[in-house]
Amino acid sequence: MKRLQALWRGALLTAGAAAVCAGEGLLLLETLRRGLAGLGSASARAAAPRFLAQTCNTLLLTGAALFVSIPLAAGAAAWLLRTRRRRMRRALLRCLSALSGVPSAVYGLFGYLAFGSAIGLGYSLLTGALTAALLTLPPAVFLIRGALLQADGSVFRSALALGASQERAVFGVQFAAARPGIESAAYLAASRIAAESAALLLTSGIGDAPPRGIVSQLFRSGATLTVGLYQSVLEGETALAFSAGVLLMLFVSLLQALAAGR
Amino acid sequence: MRRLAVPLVVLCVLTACGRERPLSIVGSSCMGEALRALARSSPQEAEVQLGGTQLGLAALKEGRADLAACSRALTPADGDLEAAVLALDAIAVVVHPDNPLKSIEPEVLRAVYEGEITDWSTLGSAAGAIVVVGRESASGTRMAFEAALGIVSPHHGQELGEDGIVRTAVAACPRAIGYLSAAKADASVRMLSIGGVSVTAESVKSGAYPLVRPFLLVSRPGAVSPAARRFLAYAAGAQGREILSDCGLFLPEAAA
Amino acid sequence: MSRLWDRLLRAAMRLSAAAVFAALFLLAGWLFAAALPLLRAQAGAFLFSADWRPIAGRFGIAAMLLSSAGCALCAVALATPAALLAALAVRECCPPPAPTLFRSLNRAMAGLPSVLCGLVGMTCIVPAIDRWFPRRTAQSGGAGGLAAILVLALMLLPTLADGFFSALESIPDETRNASRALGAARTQTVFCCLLPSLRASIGLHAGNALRRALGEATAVLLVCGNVVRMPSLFSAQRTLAGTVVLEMGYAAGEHRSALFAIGLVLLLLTSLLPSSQRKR
Repeated sequence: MKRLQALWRGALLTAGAAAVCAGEGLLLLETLRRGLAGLGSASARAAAPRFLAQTCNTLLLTGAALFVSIPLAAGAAAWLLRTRRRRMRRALLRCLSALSGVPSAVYGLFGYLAFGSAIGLGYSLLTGALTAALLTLPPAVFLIRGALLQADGSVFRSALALGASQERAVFGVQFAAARPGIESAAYLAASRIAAESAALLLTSGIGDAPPRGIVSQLFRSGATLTVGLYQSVLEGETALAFSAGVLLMLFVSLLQALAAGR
Repeated sequence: MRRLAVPLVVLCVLTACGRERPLSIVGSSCMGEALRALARSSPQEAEVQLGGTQLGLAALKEGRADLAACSRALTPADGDLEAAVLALDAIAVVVHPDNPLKSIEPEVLRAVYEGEITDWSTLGSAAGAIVVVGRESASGTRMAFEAALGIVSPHHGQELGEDGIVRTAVAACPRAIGYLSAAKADASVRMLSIGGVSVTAESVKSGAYPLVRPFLLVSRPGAVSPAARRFLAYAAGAQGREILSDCGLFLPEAAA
Repeated sequence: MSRLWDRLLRAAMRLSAAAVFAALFLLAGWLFAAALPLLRAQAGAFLFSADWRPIAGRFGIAAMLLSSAGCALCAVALATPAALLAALAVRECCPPPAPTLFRSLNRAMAGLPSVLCGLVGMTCIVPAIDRWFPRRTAQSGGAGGLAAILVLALMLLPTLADGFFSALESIPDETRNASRALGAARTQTVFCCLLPSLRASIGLHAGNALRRALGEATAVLLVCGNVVRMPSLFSAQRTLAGTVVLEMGYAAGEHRSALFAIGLVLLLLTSLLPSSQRKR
């Protein structure tokens, strides 16, 4: 009886592990197989300028989004740490939980309404960046808050003892002590933005004109690598799409490695 | 880092200045390849944004686009607009290469798309249910296809967003039938001839091939900017026409 | 001077917190305002009719709502046990290099774009479904509910597996040692001792996964066929998020209101699910 139970449990565990390995293996191997083959082909060489433009767009958009989102997240995390109002703190945490569950298509709609139509930016990298900043705000706040809490509290108390004000102690000392965690949060947020498709389709649009200037490119519509992948599939160029997939895998793995290395 | 800030800002400002806003063309995804090719080589800088014929017309009316790329003839419902014919395009009906069918009558095609005929054996192929692949409702190609065949209530097995993905779907499914721009069809699918007429320059220009639609560049009447005029002139010129026919499109007779 | 700086920093902190509150209220409020024209005109038909024909002015989302909810629930039901069992198996029953490899692999794959899962689904899963169930996929050629469920499950697996793995790591070794000391075999330890302590985290991660699955648009668009019709495993259907992405570009007037109303419905659905973060 016990033997049977153990067998049955072992079988369940093996089945689960096999299912997960099969699924993830399928994803990885298919992408690598078709993507690497696609990268070597002539059509990939012809599409290289497009890939380059999309990579520039991705970097620009991610940079702009982090420029807005990380300071806001840091400020909110610091407020969560130092405020004495318990009810407000709980309210903010609930608010962040609610925001973190919103589907990215809804963020795209909001970005289109608020940043695209109301402010008048239309389809542009800046609209996409603002939308992406909003999207990554909740996870960034949680990650930075985690980093601050995990950082050594004694440094903060020593600073206070030496006469620093609360704000100086938090922003000057505690943030410095938590810097690796905050950088890791930034890299994770960047990888989240790079992998975003629905929200950016509706806000930064599709465009692969070669970028000709940082500020002017921000106001033009541009596809990031992920949106470009989706667009390639729609245009029937699945080989190019897989190639873009391989590039994205490299990009995201690099960001995750940078985050983990902190 | 601080030492780099000032030169960086100056660089950004310099690169942002002195740039004339490029011509904005928004619209049909079928026209995307041709428009991009034209935009690359035309002296007038143009920015092509795809998303569907209806998107282009909406953007034109709202002022977000200078020209709308429209892959069907304009109807009175579109309003008062001026259209310049860029090229003629044939809508090819495609099946999987393993499908033995070579030709189909327009009436039979209409019946297939309205769900009246559901099995390949009725058409003389091996038995199997027909997977009817269509386009989604914003598509100019779909509107042109349904208008030409008189389809009122289509029954689709799948509705896809662009020609390219229709080609992928038909190439992957032996029982599928789909329609797309003839310029987009390649060796992975087989084009059917309609009523015995296949897609050639003569059959398209003479009207013998029934599924032909114009590729239009639409503008608001009286509001054509000089940039738009320059682009239209380039597209109608010898170099533009050569680029368009390289893309697989058919050209109307050259204007005098 | 330093007092001024302190005041500025304090103001910055408060502003940031206020910005987060503002973001939520603006999001919900603006969507509601944009959706209002349609909701005032036909709220009942919107929610309960399955007839979505924008050209004819019909905006019924019942079919798409059932499709979104059904695919998301089935995908989570499929992916959660698989990820849980895999995390348990790899962490508890596998020799040393396997757990770290598993964790790094899952972390890396959790960051991949979901469109890639949709692409692999389109090129591998849809033809496979067509081959295995030729009679059922007669009309649709493989695209449909089953394909959407499998693609969503594929997308959710890495995040779920990583979550369960971390939850397992937070269970102290003393628990396992105590169980072994009492004479339990390894599988008994796993199922009778570790699994019950994971109950809370199962709910948490499954809730997160459900939210993500409900909101996924582009991956599902590539494999579900996009015909607006009542959901079923083997015929094409369309999800709510998919409609938003497909039609937003050209919608005007009431059609646009309808899409914002869909966004509102998605927002309400995801906010009803359990909170994703532990209360600190």
